[in-house]
Amino acid sequence: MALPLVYLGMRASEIGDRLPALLTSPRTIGVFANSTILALVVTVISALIAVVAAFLTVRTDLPGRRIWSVLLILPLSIPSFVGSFAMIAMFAPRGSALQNLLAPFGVETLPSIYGWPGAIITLTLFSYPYILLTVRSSLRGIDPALEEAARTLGCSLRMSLFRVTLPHLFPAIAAGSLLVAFYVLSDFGTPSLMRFDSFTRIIYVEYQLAFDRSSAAVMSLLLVSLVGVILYFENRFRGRATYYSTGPGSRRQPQIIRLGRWKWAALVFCGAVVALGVIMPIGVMFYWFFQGIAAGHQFPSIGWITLNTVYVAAIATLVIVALAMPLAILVVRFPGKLTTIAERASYIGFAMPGIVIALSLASFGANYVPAFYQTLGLLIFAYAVLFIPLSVGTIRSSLLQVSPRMEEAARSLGLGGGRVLLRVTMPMAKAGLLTGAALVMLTVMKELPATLLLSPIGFKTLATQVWSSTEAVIFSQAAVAALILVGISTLSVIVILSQERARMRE
Amino acid sequence: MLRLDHTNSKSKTTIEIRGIVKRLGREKVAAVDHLDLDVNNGEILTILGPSGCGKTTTLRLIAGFETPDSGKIIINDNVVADSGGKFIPPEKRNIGIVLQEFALFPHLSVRRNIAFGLRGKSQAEIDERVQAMVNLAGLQGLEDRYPHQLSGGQQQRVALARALAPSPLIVLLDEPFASIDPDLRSRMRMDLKRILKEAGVTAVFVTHDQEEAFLIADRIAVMNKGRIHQIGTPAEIYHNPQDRFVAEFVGKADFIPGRVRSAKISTEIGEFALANSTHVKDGEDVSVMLRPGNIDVIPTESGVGTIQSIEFKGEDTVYSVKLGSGQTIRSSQHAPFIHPVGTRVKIVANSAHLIVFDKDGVPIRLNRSFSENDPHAATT
Repeated sequence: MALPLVYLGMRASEIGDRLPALLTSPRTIGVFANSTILALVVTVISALIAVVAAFLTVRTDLPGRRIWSVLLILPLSIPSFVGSFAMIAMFAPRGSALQNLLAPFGVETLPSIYGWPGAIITLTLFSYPYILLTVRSSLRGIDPALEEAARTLGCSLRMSLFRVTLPHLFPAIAAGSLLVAFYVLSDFGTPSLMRFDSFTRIIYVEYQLAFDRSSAAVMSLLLVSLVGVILYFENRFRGRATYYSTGPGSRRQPQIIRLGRWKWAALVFCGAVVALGVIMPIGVMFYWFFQGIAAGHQFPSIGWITLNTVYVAAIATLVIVALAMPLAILVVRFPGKLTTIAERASYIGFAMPGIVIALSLASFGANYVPAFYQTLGLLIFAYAVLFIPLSVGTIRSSLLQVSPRMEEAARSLGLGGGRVLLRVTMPMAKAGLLTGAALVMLTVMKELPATLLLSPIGFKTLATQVWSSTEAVIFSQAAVAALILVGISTLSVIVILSQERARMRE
Repeated sequence: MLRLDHTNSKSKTTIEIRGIVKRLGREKVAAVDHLDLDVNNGEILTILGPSGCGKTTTLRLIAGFETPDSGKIIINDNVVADSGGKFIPPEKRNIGIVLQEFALFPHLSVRRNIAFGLRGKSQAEIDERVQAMVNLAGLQGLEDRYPHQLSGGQQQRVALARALAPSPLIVLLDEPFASIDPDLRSRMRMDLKRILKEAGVTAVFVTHDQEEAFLIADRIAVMNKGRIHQIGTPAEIYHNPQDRFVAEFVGKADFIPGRVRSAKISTEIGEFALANSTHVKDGEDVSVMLRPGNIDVIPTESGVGTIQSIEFKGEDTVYSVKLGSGQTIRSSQHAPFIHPVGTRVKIVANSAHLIVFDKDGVPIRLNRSFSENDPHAATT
């Protein structure tokens, strides 16, 4: 995991005298400000949407709240670059669906979607589900006794929600927000399509078009240090209070809040989010697809591409889970300074943008291990560096659910350490492991920059197919790949959701 | 409406519950079934019953977390809930609550937990009140800790201080000792009683543990299947149970069958005189309740039973005696020497403590002028 960083450092040091000029150039400062503000704004809006959505689907009598709770998670299965294409197709200043619709009324151009508005809206729409997932499970886990205690101390229902329930959700909001912030900083597709000068776009441009490896490396290191700063402050301000309930939790149902006349506003809110985040992108893809069919387009290689994608993602997932498991077990069962540092460090890995990893591995491979360069092995290695932390996180939380007493009981019944792991720990943590694997597979399939830079020549995945087809303006090809990608991703999301539900039943 | 307060109370009952019914769950089982209950000003009333008897639901009805299906709840002469749809929400009832799981706000320090319910006061007043509560509950030095840094007992005292801080009319306590180590419990029970009495608050305390109920309660209401079987002081409940459920649930007891014969009850262990005005007829079957502490075993070759097993408990020894009919009864003895297993014994019961039920479970009065069962009968 340190390899990409070390290599970047080496590359960056080659820049020599140009370093001060590069660091203080208006463009660098502008990019730094752009990325920081974008991450901040998207995270705040995402948190607002996620908290409201979680609250509506868990605690109110919203009609059809079970269906909404699935629909509102679904944007997770749509890669943000697919969403960006759809946004552009719908709302671009000229030639978009909306402009065509308004053309009879004399509307020639729409306000530009490119830049800030497009980047903010798109990234928010496709990353808020990360916060929704964490907030929802926290909201479900809250002990209803807390709100009841607040009520007897003179708080109205609304006051108790603000003074007790919301603070209880802060850690979940923070955890989800961290994911969203890192996602925004590391996302490559959306800023590129929305022509927004973020770190990822500039790094790609420097590397691919300007062939300036050194300044790309410097930019990458800047981005990594921004991530480090965020992690530092998150850890610093986490505070002393812990948020789990201290007593043996009760199994009462929390009070369901009647929306009354707010019901319509709530339905409009959920409807709008789902319309933009799910229906719009899928609709646009289907539109392109049918247009392509009508124009007689053929999709000869799509079967192979799908197979490639699933094959690589499956191997990568197996490798990642196999590597993450021992790490997670160490962290959970042998907590200590060393393991804590290991866990924290892996967080940094998660926050390292795919473009940075891809870049460093690409030039490292090309220069030092040409035999490894442009092989599937290097691609899977990149995936592993990128997503092991994600996997450690979910495996860790599912292992935490397994009491060490269970393992001790098994030991006392004569099972060795390894067999305890196989026969007790793993089966009990199965649900969490499955969720973790589904999440990793989903993320691998959606990954774009590393796949673009590191794939062997001629090797295409659904994600790169979407990307290259749109660059070549063959929208129907892009649409088919995107639809298949969304379909497979949705399966993963369903696995994640069903595991969440199963856990709730226990 | 303002919160209920102490000033407008005229009667000496703080809580009046009239014919409350509450059905729960999909099957609409009556968790509380036509319940009537009065709680007097400043008393500690304990609702004692097995789990699932409806005691927690009763508490939640008083607190306002549940609405009654029918009946009426009156707090300080104000109707807070009735079948006509009148309902005062929990935050307006001025009731403090201490739950089994304590429900301390994990994101707030001890000080801010206690201050949570104090609003509309100056900071100086709040500080003063919090300090008073800290002193009352013996929490000095813990003010800036967070709930997860406290032991179970400390958490309980914070929960109590938090509930008492806004000077509530009533404090409700739902099994507050359930998550506390057994060795800590007995001391903490006395602490709790002292704190409640010093605060002068009316308290309703729910538990399934009779020992706890005896220690804390001024009066005990024994509850089962949504109904109250008996209300009385701990001694009344123990010595004069009004029906067989109370007798069996409160304290240890064995029951032996008997038959009424010419103003006496004859049983396997001897005869007991009946009061003259008793309602049972000659020849009727009854059952006699024997508490282990109220019967003695005396070794006699011609005894009615044989010692079958011995439980040595230090201060006393509990003998299980097998009678001729095959039934076993227990006797608890303080004597320093121990009769070996297999000893033939006669049973001497003090009729002052005997309780007899007719076949419908209604208690029958015994003639208390006789202090013991007829020794002649007992040795036959």
